[in-house]
Amino acid sequence: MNLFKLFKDFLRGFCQGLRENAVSLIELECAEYENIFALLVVGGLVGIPSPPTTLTIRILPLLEREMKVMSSITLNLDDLFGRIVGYFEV
Amino acid sequence: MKVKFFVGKGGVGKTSVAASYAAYLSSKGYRTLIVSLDPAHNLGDILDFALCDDVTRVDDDLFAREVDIDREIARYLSKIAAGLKATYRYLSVLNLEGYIDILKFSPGMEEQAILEAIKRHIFSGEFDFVLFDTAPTGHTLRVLSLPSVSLIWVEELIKVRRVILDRRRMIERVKGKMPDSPPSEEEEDEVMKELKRIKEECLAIEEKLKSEDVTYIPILNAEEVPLIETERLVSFLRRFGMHIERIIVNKYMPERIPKQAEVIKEIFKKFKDYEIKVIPYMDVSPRGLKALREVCLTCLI
Repeated sequence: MNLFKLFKDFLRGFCQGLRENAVSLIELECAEYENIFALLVVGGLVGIPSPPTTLTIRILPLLEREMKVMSSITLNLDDLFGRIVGYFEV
Repeated sequence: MKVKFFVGKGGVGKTSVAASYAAYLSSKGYRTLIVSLDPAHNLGDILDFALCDDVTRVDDDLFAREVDIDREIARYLSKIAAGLKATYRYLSVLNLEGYIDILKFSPGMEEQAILEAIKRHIFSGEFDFVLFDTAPTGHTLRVLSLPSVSLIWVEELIKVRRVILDRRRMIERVKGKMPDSPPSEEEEDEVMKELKRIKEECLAIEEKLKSEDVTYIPILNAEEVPLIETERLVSFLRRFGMHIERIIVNKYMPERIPKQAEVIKEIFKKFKDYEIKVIPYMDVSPRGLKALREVCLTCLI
């Protein structure tokens, strides 16, 4: 019985691992899009053209998640190569 | 309800012409509102009536307002501030109000505030005619193009947002929905909902500014520089699909300035597709309803 449960847990973990692996690149892509979205809205922060100010201040309060993604990506920008190599598990 | 925008270079006499129309239309029994959007107001001086930021009754059917831009910006920002305060409540200890005060100096805020003033009157339906005496050309064009510019941005942001939501749905399908998963459907994503609201607002104002009920009356003097500026103005209005009602040449005095006779020929040639009215130069500027009505009756009708 215990052996059967262990095997079931192993299979569940194995499948979970496969699923995580399958979507990791999509998650990376999604984070990059969230980063781009935040940059488009608050581009003024890094010196790129921004939308009309009123549009920015209406959306900004809703962008907590995207701002976190943007700052995390920005922090790792100087190690872009390492990040990509990590994602591809080289 | 009909809306007329009086547009043109600074000093050509937009306020006098707009006030003449207003005096005439109200004398015919049309409930008329004239709004001055020029930060350097002189509508009250021309109507010979003390005006303020509130709509003031000048005559039985004539109402007027000189828009106070600072007050309009404060009004607009108070709406924004409510949203910011609700989201960043913890910032209240850091004097958020002080930050909101700084927002009024952001580029584009003045144009947005003027657009808000325009929106309030053109959608109200309280009057038969609403006439806008605008600021000089460059400023007015920035205000009128603001909905179109915002629309371009909003549409691009919606496209990117759709891709984000699409990727989130893909991830959810594989990993399942977690309690802390970000929204993946358009109906539950607050950013997408706000973008769609902004898009609807921009479309409504853009549609109204291009509708048959809203017309634009360029005003110029018979001089070379105002003519060049008016050509640019007419081309802008046509490009944005806005309806030009007629063109008015103000302060025409070929006896004193012979060059004007040449320029006016040029004006008739260049704007042959439009009705052109000419108001001669007057030694005494018309002030008060009676004089203004007279100008409209003799030169504009």
